[in-house]
Amino acid sequence: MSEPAGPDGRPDPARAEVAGMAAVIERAEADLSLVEEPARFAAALDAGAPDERARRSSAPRSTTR
Amino acid sequence: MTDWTIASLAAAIRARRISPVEATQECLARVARLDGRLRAFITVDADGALARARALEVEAAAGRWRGPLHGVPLAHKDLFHIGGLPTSCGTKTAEYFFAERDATAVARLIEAGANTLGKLNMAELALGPFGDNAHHGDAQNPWRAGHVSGGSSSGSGVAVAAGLALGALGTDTGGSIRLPAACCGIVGLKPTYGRVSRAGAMPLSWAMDHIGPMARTVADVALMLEVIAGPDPADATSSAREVPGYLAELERPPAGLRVALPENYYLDGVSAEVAAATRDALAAFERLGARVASIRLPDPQVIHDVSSIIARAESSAVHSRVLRERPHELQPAVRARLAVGTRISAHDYLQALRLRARLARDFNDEVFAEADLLILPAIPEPAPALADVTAGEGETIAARMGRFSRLTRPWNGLGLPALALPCGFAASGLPLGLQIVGRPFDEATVLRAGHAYEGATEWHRRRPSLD
Repeated sequence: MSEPAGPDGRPDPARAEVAGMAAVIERAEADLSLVEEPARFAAALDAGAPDERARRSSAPRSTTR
Repeated sequence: MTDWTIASLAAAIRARRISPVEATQECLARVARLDGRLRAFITVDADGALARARALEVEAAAGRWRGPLHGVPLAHKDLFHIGGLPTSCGTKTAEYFFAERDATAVARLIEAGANTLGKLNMAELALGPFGDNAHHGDAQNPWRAGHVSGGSSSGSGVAVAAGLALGALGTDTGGSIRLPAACCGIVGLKPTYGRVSRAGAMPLSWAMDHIGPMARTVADVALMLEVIAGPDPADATSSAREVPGYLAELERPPAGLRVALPENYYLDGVSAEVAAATRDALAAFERLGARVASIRLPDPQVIHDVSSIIARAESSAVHSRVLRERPHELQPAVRARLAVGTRISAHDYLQALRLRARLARDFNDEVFAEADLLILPAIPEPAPALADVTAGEGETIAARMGRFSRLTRPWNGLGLPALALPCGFAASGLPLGLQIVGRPFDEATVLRAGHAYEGATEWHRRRPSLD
């Protein structure tokens, strides 16, 4: 496949890169749920975190602060 | 100074075997002797550091100890606002960035007794993994001059590896703590997104930026993290989660932990030496009693690309003014990277943010059901020659940048804690770096595993020959 060209007809690497990014999104977005939203990223981190209460019960807390 | 760690120096100061002034003087003498060629610093605050050291010495003499870092000389990437010092962010403009208050992470280190020697070199606007800087000089790899020091926290990696400072703060948007740590043979941690406040630091991408510690040992990194982590009203994205005692956790053995080596993506195209060192590390974990396995990860290229879209769009928005008004001041590769970001559509940016949320949730559910930790390389090859990676047009260099950070960037997108630490040396004498990745907010287990690996190997004890 030839590289996308700019208005002057010369190869435009930036245009090619942006087109590549758009293609990534197009492939990946197909099965996105309607309720998916950016804020759910923070929720995913919290949901995946270990249970600190369990850790506290098995290890001492140090006191640097 | 080359033999001290933060922990050993802090203990020696407490025991009055060395004073804060002596420690500071020794670091400053090394800076004066070596930094002309290493180019780790942008600003050396010698007078200020000595004045603060004298004050810390008076307090110590009176038995007043500020905290676990009392008198320990540190230095920080030149994108943290520190009152009284300019913040260039690696640009041509001496005072590119200003904040109302000292960066929270720096302020917490100072409250714990640390002394700040100055501000460290970095890639321009934190946009680049090689450590080159046309305005402040290329940060030199201490193991071999003329080779990449890693970026964008290049000066942080060089200063710590060369013994100019005992530890440093870096920032990591696509690998900028872990790449210089790996290239320079030191330890660097990108914590979980939200674990460390970003207030007072130059933003590059608010969804991808992380602040973290860099030092010679995992224990030093754990100590610094324990000081800087935790909620901050000045950063709405900082997590309210309680900060565990990282140092106390270090001594728990790794036996029984499930440690997995990804069988896709992370060993593709890496050098033979890097692949061998990574597999050796897995074997070391097995000898330590970990349950090792291989694992197939959800396609890392997708989260890599999604992360890249988000970072590009946000960085070009944050830095649009310099791109619009003074583009000639920017290095060609930096200008090229920012320019691409201006052409990403709102649709693609928003879809990338939505995809990130789903990818993170799926990854955590699938991968951490099978493994507690992942190990993988930090850099695809030993630090290449600067002349090789900085040759050519801006777009060509930008493409090389993307390839060099392909092993680190996915973890910014997923927001997971990722530790880089030495795992061997290439035949050329340049360091090799390992990454240990864990669950969200589980830095304790990541550090514990890194500390155990460090105890079973000798890589972290080697020092570059500089004198």
